[in-house]
Amino acid sequence: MSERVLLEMRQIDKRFPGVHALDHVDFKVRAGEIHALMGENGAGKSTLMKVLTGLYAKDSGEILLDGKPVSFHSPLESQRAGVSTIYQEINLIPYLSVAENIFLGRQPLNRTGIDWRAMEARAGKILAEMGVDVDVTQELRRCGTAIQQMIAIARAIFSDARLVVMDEPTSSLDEKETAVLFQQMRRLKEQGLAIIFISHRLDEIFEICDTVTILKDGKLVEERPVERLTKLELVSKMIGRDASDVLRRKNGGYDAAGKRTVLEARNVANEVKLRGINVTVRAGEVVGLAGLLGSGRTEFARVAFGQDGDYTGELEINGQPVRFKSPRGAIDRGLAYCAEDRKVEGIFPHMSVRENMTIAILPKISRFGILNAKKQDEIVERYIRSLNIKTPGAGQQIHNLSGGNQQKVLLARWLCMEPDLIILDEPTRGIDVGAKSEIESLIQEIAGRGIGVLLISSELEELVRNCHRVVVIRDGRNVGDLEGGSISEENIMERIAQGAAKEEGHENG
Amino acid sequence: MKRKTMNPMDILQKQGALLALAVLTAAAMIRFPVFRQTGNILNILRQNSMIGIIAVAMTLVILTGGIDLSVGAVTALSSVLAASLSGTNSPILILLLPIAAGTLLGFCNGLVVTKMSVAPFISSLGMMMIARGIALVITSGNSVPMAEVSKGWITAMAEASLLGVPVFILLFALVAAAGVYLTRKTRFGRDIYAVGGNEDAARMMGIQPGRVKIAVYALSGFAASLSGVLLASRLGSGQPVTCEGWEMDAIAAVAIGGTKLSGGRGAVPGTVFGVLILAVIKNMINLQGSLNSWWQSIITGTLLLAVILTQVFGERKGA
Amino acid sequence: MRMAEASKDRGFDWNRHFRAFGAAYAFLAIVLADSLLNKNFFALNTFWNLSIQALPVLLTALGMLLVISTGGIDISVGSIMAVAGVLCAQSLTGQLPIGGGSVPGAMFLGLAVATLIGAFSGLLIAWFRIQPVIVTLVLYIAGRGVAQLMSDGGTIVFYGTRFNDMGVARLPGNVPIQLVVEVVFVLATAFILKKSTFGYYVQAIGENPAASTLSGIRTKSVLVAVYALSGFMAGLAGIFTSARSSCADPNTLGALAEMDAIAAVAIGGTSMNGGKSRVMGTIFGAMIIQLVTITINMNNIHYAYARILKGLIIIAAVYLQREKKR
Repeated sequence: MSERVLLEMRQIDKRFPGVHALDHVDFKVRAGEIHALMGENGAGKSTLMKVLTGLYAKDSGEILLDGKPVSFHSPLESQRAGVSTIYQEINLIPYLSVAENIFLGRQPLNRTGIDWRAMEARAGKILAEMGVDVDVTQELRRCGTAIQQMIAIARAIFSDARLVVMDEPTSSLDEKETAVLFQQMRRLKEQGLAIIFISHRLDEIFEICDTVTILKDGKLVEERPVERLTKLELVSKMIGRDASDVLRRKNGGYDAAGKRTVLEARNVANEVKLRGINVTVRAGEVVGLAGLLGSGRTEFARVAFGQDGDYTGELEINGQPVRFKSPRGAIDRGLAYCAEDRKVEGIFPHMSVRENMTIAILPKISRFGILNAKKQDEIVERYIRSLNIKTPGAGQQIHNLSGGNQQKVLLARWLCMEPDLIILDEPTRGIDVGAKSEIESLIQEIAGRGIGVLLISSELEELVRNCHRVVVIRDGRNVGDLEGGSISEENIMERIAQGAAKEEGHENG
Repeated sequence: MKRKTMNPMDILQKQGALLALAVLTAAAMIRFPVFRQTGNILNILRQNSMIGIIAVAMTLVILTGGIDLSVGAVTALSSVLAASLSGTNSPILILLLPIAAGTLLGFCNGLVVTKMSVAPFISSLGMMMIARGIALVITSGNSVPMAEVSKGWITAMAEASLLGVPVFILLFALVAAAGVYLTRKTRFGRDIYAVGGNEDAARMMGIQPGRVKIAVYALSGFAASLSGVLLASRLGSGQPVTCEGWEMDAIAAVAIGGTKLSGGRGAVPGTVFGVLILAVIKNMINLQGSLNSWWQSIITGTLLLAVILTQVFGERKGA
Repeated sequence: MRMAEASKDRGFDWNRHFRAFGAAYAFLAIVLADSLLNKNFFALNTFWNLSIQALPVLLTALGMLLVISTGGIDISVGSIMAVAGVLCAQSLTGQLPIGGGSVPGAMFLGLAVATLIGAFSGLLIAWFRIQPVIVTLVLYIAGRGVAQLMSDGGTIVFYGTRFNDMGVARLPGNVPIQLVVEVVFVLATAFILKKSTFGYYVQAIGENPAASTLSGIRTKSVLVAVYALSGFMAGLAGIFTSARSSCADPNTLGALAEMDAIAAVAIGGTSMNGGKSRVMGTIFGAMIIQLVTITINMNNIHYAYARILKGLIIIAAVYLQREKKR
């Protein structure tokens, strides 16, 4: 790492109506370093990056790139100046070829126009250098997630970037893929590029980054080399209170004696991802479903819930064999599924908290299709109180609530149907650490009421903190079962790795 | 290097239109001897060159994920403008002013879609009303005959040929070739695909979707008004109430040609085949004689639906 | 999210107020302007006339409101009006063996076919996930083709029949029958949207289709029902229109009705992206559209200006009512 400062953002200030999103923030990145930008949701990380890339206009402050003041008004301008961004969701064009995705807007030209042959040859060379083996003429959508992420990176590198912003690039990658990504990042670093790395996975920060800048509530908290920072320090600086509370193990032991089995899945398989999954959940038990993205954890939940079509194998709810054709059937049998992506599959943004909460139980609180408003209000008030949902009232539109409170409303949606089993798919993704802790306490409370919980999470710590038992899956089948004291991050990872060894050479798309 | 395998559904989707055209043409040739005559074939091509020009531009609009329902009305308006200006006997005014006006309307349509974030079908539905309204206001609802001073050369245009090929057909071929070149060989053309494939991603990749969209709607207005001038030349008059349903013919041709109606995928050659398929069907209905002309819209609609359904099933299989 | 949180602290939300009541204000403004321009505007008769003439716009707008609330669009309503009107007329005049020439039989036939056409759109949209614009565009063109084919393009006339009597019937106090029909359907739609689970589902689907399915809503059935209802309303509008004018012309019956209906819904403050349905707004929206037509007629302005004006109104209304980007 050199000491040459590549990017300097000075006293950046940005206000939104009623919110001081960035309060005179200083941010400095040196050439040849990987710089982590940390903070809770709402700390101002993404606002700062959007100011940098020209998506937002700053209210005051200045940006120096290589010592020269710059001011970008669009991503196009910042890209031209050598600032490339790789986003969490892959931002490429599904129906265009791999080669075009790398060269779009900069296609090599010859006398008659775009030189397709030259473009494809160059794309092939770039990707080969990165160790990515893919047919550059095929449509992007036919490539796996990791390959697509690599293509996004290839695009960023090729654009003569001097500074690459990576906004949670690993959130959809598995371990092996993450390793390949990190390898590429180190290469870029050696070439003198600077990388701004945003991730919520602490381990990754300590593995790959040189420097950490921490933001909180729109203010700069600290900038420090990573080797002079501990994990605990980092977390406590981000959330500004004693971190030990957040990281403490939540659950007590679980006594299976006399408890009925609420979910029993035997050899659930389908033509897509599942190769035979076995899961048992008993009343009041929190069972974790661990596995990498694409291992089939979410797919299993959706298949079981009747959302994703046909499967083979057996499924029993409360000892009764079932086979759901649609979520409605599953709901009627006491199964609840709180989906992974809150925005896309959870909330009805402009509908009220009341409507959002009761949408799944309307048949229960209506007669002849006509709603019983009194019953509805009772239920809504009860859950607002018991889940401590912070909202001005039940009539408030849900998009006005914070992420954590939205998630609580969604939990209430499923709890108020009084299910026997609730599947929680990444219940704490994208919410701040405080709310996370509250949600985790809630999970224990739900189990305490005798509801079976199947918890899907990509954060191993979360599984370790919350689960009585963890089922580990890989490539659509079970590869391990951990219970009580044997649940640890190391053990889960070991099971996944062993499962991987057995499946050596098996391609993961 | 991994090589892709062609799945049969893909081939059907890519070459289906050409195949269907071949089958239909063969059937028509066998069934109707008249169909085989060069005169008939040239006539079919000439009559459909106007829809064809519109459909090529509609392909670009649909590739961006949009739609333009105003094309029929703009064509009518342009024909009315050309006829109303025919008294000046100035080729520039008669030929270019209507095209400029149509392009401007398309441009406005694009502005409304991008700057005001109004959905394309709403915006172009509004434009359709406005364009049709203006045409009716100008003419008080009547057809406008060409002024005698210029009627001669204007109508001669429609009959003119170059090397034995009618000028209309050459114009259609020219527009189609321009469309192919634009979409295959220029950055702007590839930006069109990018915007329709994933607009947010395109923006992040430094493309300005707003500009691309405004440009395609302007091109659509250009094509529609060019057709309008041709129509006026063929009819020797301006007609405020013609071309109703042309938007559907154009959209149907695009869809039949294999372009995805949600954008991002497709190509201009397919659209040309789509136009020809519809043209052959229309001709067969005429030659049949016993079928009422109202059947045309019903058959076009049914065909469009059938094509979309195969697209949907192809998508599901391919996924 | 942060911005939104801030907005609830502000006192009175003008933006929201305007969205909800803008149509009512605009309506009052037009009425005021009209009554100043025309001395005979403020007569009870004008009101009766308005209520008679507004029936097709209002009914199709209510159906369209449901459709747009699910995030869809139905541009086939005008053609469905024509099909229903022609069918009904043919059955009454004995040109069809079905319906037996009786008024209820003929109406039933027209309404049933209209509902079926709507359900067919819904089926294609829900099961095959084809864009609503495309499906209903096909039916818009093909539907009118069918209507023209049925009557060979000619107008069917039926003066002095009981059907015609129904179209011009007045209740005691000179209240036109159309007003009764309007009140019934407005109340029914409001009730469905505000009090029934179906109404919740309609709006939920418009807000977030994926979340709707996962919440146990049978989205496909709801969509089919919504388009079927829109078809039914269009059919009823077509039947009443032809009953009042005592003829059914397949070429003009219901022409541009889809534009009026979409405009009414947009003016009423319902977002084209679906979600919150505004019944009151839609009623005022329909009245405004009808008033524009009437005003232009009363002042002897060429009817083509109404088209230009309505085209502008649609674009402006949709622009003003669009959801701010989240």
